[in-house]
Amino acid sequence: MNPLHRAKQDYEHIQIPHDLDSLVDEAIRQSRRQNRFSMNKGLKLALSGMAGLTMMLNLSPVFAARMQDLPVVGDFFRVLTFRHIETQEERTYINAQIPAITSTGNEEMEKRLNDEIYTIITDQIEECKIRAEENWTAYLETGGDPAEERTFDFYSDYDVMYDSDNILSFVIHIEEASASVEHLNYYYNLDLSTGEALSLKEIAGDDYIEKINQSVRDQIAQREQEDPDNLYFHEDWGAFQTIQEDQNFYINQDAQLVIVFERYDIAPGYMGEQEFVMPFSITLPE
Amino acid sequence: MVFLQEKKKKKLAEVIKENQTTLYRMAYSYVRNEETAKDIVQDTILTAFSKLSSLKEDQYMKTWLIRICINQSLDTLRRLKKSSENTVELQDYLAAPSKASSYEYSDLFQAIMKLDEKIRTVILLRYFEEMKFEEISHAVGTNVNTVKAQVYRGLELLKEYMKEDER
Repeated sequence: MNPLHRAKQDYEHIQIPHDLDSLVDEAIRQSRRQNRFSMNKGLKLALSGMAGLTMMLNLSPVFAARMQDLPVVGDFFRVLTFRHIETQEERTYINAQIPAITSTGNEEMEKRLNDEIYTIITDQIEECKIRAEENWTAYLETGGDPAEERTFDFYSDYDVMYDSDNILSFVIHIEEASASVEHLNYYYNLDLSTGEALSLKEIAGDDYIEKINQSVRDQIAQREQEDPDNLYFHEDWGAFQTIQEDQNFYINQDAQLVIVFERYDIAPGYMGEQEFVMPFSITLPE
Repeated sequence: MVFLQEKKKKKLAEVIKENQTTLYRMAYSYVRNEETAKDIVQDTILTAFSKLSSLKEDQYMKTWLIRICINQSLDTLRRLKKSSENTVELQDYLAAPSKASSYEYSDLFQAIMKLDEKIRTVILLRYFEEMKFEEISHAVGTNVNTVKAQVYRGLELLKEYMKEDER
């Protein structure tokens, strides 16, 4: 036998643990449910003993409300799925995670923001349903086949980007997919001690606009040089000029400021959202 | 990024299931320890889902997944080496008869497992996982020519090793 063939058999002889299958299933299930959340905390726990707990948190708001009294959970689960809506209707498929904030010690803020988040997402769902109906009517009126299946798909979920004693940074993603895909992202950067949103000025200093603009420009140039596939808009198309007053941003795991541009803001759609980690250090409220 | 997040996640779950033994064996070839290799597979899955939006083209999902697994394995090795002297001589581990049976690994296989990490990885992917050079280059993140050079270099080393062994 060819020695390489024999070696391949040896390789295939590396025994596969009998529980690999179930372990992989569980890791997939947890990942799909939790998004980046468990990763941020390095919570391998979630894969073993905590799995059942997380599920209950997600399923039951009442249970979630009580759980914050438990120290461990209070520390880890500041943002959790408040409600999961999954419905298949004739013209729409909705799969929405609606997050809620708990355990911040600021109940007024929690209530205000949770109401806001709930309203944002449910409004978007209603609008999606209306658009789906309008689209269907238009489709039929233009001679479309009534037997055809055409649905608008609505998804929402969230990622916790940074979670410290006093700062909570997270983003809510909304996608609506029909013939094309629309994205909406809502970034939340909260100072939990005041209950207010962090401002760029507050964390990056008085000269934040120039500092950020300079870094974004530098990084755009660098990315274009590194990879010819990276193309940003230039003069004719609306090249990057300056960050906006309501510029999207978040704090990453390493407590760095990350500036985010939506698709088409500064680059063609295929480039997707563009993120820039700021090289300078920022001041986060203690 | 243009993608349907949910559909992409579903696809990723499928690709993971199809390649779970590959991921495990890759991880095992680095750490030579069942529990650690299982941890790496779990970490690979978590990382893959969390970084899914960075994957631009679905066709590279498999090689991208393997790449994450390789990176996780290297990270783990680095941590193990740093954390203690207990790197139970990796070769010893392998040379020891496997506990379940008295299976004997061929000399060539043992030699492959002793190659340095980079070269061993491309040899594994090429000859055991039967991947194309193009795919391997995606999985290890270097260009095709470098991969080819590494594979040939590996084969040369193995030939020399086998010759020495005969003497």
